[in-house]
Amino acid sequence: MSKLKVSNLVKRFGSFTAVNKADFEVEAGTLVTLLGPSGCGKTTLLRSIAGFYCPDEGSIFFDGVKVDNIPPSRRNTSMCFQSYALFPHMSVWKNIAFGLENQKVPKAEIIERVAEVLRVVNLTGLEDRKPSQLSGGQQQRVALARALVTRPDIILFDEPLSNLDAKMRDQVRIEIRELQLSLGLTAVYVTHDQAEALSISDRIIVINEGKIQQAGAPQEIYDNPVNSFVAQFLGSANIHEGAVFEHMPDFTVIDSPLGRIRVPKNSLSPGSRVKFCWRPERTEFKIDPEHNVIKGNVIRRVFMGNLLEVFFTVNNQPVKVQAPCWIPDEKELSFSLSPESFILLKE
Amino acid sequence: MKRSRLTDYILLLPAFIYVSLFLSFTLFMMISQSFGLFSLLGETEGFTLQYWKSAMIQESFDSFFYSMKIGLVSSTLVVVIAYPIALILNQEIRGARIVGSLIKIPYFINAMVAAFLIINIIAYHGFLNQFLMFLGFIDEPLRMRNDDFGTGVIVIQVWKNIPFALLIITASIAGVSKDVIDAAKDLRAGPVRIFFSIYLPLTISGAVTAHILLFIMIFGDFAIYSVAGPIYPQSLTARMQLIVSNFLQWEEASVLATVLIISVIVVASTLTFISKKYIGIYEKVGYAEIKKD
Repeated sequence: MSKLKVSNLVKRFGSFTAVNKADFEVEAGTLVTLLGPSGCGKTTLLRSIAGFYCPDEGSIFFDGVKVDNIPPSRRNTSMCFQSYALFPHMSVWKNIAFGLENQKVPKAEIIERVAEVLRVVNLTGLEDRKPSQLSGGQQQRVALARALVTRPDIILFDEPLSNLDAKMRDQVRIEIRELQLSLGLTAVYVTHDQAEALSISDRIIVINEGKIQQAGAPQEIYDNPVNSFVAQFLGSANIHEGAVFEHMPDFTVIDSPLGRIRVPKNSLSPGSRVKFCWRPERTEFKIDPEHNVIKGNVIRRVFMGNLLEVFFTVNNQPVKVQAPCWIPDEKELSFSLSPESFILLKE
Repeated sequence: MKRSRLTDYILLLPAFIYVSLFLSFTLFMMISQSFGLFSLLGETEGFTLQYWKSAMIQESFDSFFYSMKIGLVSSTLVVVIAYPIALILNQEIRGARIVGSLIKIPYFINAMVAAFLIINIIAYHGFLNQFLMFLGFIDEPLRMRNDDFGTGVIVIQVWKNIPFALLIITASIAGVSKDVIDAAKDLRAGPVRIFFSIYLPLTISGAVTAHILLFIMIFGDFAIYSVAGPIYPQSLTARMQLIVSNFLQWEEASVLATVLIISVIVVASTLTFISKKYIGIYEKVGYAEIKKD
């Protein structure tokens, strides 16, 4: 396993800048997720790390060694492709042994290592099957085995679960994480699925339009998104704008479409425009008078099984909250939000 | 709604009629005529091997071997030249699309016109001979047109048929996923390994299909032979035409036609067998085989 450093990387395709000054590090033995919507540049970044794209600016380092001019075949990375990219004419065994044969590993060792990795991914007995004779989940595990068996410095996952059904996705995601932890692999994982990113990562790097928006531990980013894009992309958020009214000893008061509300203390001068958000699950229906009490008109209730999603308008501002199933079936309801529920955004 | 069996039969009927009437029936008639049955001249004398005996003379053997040689050499050359071109044009190279379109132009030129075009180049006093003499490689012009070996015919066949091979092989190569090639690179495979382990096994069926179709076309060539071929031997089809037009021997011509069809089947089967053997190297070698070693 290696430490990965991406330094001010820029990748352009003609006049389009796919990755714009990406700068981050991945500590050895950790799993970092590049999260963003389609076309945000996350796969370009991953393919640059693998060596399929040459950066236009900036550099990539493996354990401090610059790898910009090293072709993919000599980088000692392994990639799990979104399409699995299994060799369709080769058996499972041949697919997995392919990388070891290229490394000129002795035959006896190839047999041993392939058998070992097949045990790890739970595919023993399927050695002679063709990829077309396997289910999606099994194909994904062959791709994983093929990537693992060469003992890469860094393993790269390009949306590996996107072709699986929901149940299989959960199962393979847990398997990938367990393998990464048990083998101590350095991994970069690309996805557009925020739930996947939150559950599998040591760190998440949120990307939009080629630029890194925020990087940090899953909880850290979820609890403290820096801007409205991160707040909305990672989970669900209600975003409002307001103006600082006054500072109190323990909190700041803001004039907003929700009314005059108390938010965590900040250093903005009174009158300054401010953008802030709050998560729907922070809503309290057992009203705490010490908190911000907000009254709204119920537009729609959506039953989600264990809870309700309730859509309100508060002073003509749309608001989404999560509520327990017991709340009264009334057109007008009040809920409370603690000052700590509000997060001030930079933009 | 489940379709009835009768509907299935009705839907298959047009294709079945086509195969029966235009293929099976005509083939049956041709083979029958080579044995003296169903004579086109109306006088059927019953089953006989007489036409096979009379057709099997030195001139026919020479024609057969000439056509076989031109068919195999030209079709192989076309595939050998077209395959790397298709492979290169499939890469992300600026201008590859335009060149890929230009290279297909000869396909739209009639065989006879193609022959005349190429003859300008390979004729005794043509461009190629003049150029080679100018460079000092040869002292006197080479005979490339109407030569005994059939060089002129081969050059024209190759020029004319490369676009056709490209159409098939390019489609076959384009069918190989870029991710699969990237995965091979990622697993430390060099260009040679990628070519022999990935590209070739995944595209060989396309290349062999092109090879077989080209062989069928070239083996049965009449037009290009008649412009650029040797005076002797004739191509098999030219000999068939001669037998019919000069001697009205439809039965003997049917013998040669039957030989032509059988030869195509044998060559096509052999090429398919070889390609399957090659693919088999990758398909069949699994864990069990490796453990046995």
